[in-house]
Amino acid sequence: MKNKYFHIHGPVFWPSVILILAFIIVTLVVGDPMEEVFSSIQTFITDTTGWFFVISVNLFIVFCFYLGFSKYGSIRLGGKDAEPDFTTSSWFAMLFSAGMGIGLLFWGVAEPVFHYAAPVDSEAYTVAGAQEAMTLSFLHWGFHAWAIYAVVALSLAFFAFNKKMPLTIRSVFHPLLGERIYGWMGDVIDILAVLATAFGLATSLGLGVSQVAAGLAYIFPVFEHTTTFEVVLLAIITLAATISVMLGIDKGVKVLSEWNIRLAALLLIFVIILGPTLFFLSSLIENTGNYMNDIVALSFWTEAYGDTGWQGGWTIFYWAWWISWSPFVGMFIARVSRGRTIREFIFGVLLVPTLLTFVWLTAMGGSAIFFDMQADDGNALAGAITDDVSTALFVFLEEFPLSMIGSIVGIILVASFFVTSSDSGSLVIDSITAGGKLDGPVTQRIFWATAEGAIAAVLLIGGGLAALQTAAITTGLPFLIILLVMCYSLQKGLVQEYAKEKLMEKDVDQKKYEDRLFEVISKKIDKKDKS
Amino acid sequence: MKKLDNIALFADLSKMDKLLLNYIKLLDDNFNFSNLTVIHYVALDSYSIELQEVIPELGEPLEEVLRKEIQQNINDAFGGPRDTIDVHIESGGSIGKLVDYIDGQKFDLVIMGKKAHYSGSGSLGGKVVRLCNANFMFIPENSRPNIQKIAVALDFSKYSEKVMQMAMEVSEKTGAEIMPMTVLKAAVRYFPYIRERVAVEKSLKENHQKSYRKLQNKLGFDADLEFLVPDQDQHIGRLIYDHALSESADMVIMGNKGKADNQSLLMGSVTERLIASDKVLPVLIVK
Repeated sequence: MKNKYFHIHGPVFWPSVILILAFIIVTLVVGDPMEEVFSSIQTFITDTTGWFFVISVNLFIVFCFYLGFSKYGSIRLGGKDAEPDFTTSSWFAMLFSAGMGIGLLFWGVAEPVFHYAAPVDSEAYTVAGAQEAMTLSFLHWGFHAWAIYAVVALSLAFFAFNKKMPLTIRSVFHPLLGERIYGWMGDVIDILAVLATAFGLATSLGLGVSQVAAGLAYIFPVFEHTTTFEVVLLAIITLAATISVMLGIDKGVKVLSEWNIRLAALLLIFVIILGPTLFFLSSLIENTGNYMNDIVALSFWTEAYGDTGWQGGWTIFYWAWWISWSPFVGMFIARVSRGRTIREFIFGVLLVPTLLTFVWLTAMGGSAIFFDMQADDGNALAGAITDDVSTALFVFLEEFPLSMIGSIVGIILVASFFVTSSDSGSLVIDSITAGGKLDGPVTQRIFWATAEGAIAAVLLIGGGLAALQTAAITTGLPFLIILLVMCYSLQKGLVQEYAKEKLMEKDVDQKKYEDRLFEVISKKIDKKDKS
Repeated sequence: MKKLDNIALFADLSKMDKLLLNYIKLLDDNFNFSNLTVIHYVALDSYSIELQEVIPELGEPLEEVLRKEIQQNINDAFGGPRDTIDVHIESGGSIGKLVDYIDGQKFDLVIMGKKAHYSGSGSLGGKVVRLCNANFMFIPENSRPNIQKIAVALDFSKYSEKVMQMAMEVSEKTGAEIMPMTVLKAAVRYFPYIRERVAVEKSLKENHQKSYRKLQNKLGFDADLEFLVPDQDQHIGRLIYDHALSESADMVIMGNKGKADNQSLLMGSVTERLIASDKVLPVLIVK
């Protein structure tokens, strides 16, 4: 179908739309039992395939470092002469905003405190518990997460920009499936990616809106945290996202991402300077050291000798979560990374966001733990934070002077991160359902942005957000396999590309050719002179 | 397998052009190509001072002059212009763009002349054949356009089916006889044990025979598979070539890469040897 307003790839677009609708209707009609079904599937997956996740995510890191340091690192995404579309600073801003901005706002305070209140190895509320809490949080938000994104994004970028294939997940399978990726197999892969993205995004929008609503209600008692209030907020956020979508990447997501980072930096500086500054500095160093020291043991740990179920609920949950988000984040990162060399890409995606994440976690969660340890009130702060994750950030900010301002900045930040997520998510879904076109008609992108909001709203009213989130995470397992295949495909593609680039460097003998050219020219001039 | 319909031919302004055009003219009598594109690559990324001086004297752009020159050669060979024949001049001196063009056109076959002094991956032909996705045919200066016997080199890799299909297509159009052959080469590690080597060769032969029968059933053709056994140190490429020549084949068809070739090679070592050493036989490389 092709006209001014719509340019879609039917075999992906329609099944996706129908499946999304069917899924929502079933979830609404069946209600709570649906959530049980999904959570038993999820439990089954984490129980039986946890070890597989553990080894795979480690493989991704090894693979990334291998690519970064190997001779293939010099290959440029988009060809030898490609130039980056965005400056390095806006590139980082977009990486970070799309990758985890929103998750960090939600969990940045809460996760370390959760571990501190219920550590795996140590006593709760102790120094050892605090150290362990920070190390585990770093593990979940560190290199592994970004390695997952890097693998997906790099594969997509390479096949789209260097091999000139459509920017959709199916293209990555070309070395394996050949031209069959344009048939039903490719369609199935793309539909799976659309579903994971749409559900992941819709549930995040829904849960994020509860955070904004909870925050507003917490600070301004005028507001009541009701479903109606949430739906109104959702409408406003969706409207903002739609406007941002209409403006395109350059004026929309890019500008918003940059502002997100500025605001986030402001909040971070606020917390660091008005909070326990010295503790922040020293604990950042110590946390990073502990993380590096423990990374091998922790990231290969599978609870093999004593399964408490802790890992399934946290580590494996995170790995599955990052993986289920990876088609979306990966495609977005791919889109903004044309013109980077593979080395730049790997270290840009792996190191910079990870370090920023460490700073954030230490400033937010670390300081919260610090406050809790300092106060002699029966760990009231930790209790309040773990009670309700959606208000954790605001409870924490109450410990600061000018907490009102801090909280308002926090709310704006959450909202604006949601706008960027929704916006980039719509761009990605639109791109996949349009057969990999980079710039589909605006109407179509508006359709997806609005649809995302609508799905979230329906689920907020009818219930079933949690069910859908569980469903989204269960796509982690099929995608894990897809990701492993991606590594193989990418490696294969890079080997060839490198050989080709080397071959291009050598010059063809120009001298002999020029002699022949002269012959033709002089023949022609002689003819002209004669006539 | 697609029919051989959309063909490209590289003209480089040398004496080879006329030979190639005559060759393809005779092929065309059998094949009736629906489209022939004569490609000329201006292998200069910038013009020398001498060139810059004479080009204005032409009174028209250099590309136009080249186009006319090539068109003239086409007219000579085909007895006048034909609307199924186009000329494409690729200027700018970027092999990358040339490759993009060739891949974009989805040619069924690209034909190039092969100089006696082929210099491997440094020559234009050597580069283009490695970088493009199309099937390539290299034609030496003194080859006959009369195709009666086709040597088909099979190694039962993923290319073999396509190679056989290509041979069948050529055979159908020209009435040529198909001569399939495969090389029995035991892996090096067996070499010290001569007796075992014989056994290994025997089982290898059985395996090849089995794969061959499978291929026969799938594609439906009858011709006996010939087994070539190399002397110590003899290069497989050389063996295939010599055998094809001694059986008076008129062309060799083979895959781009063999089973054992490394991923990083854009062209297999046997194929490389065949287009590099051959002086008489055209070689068609299936990708």
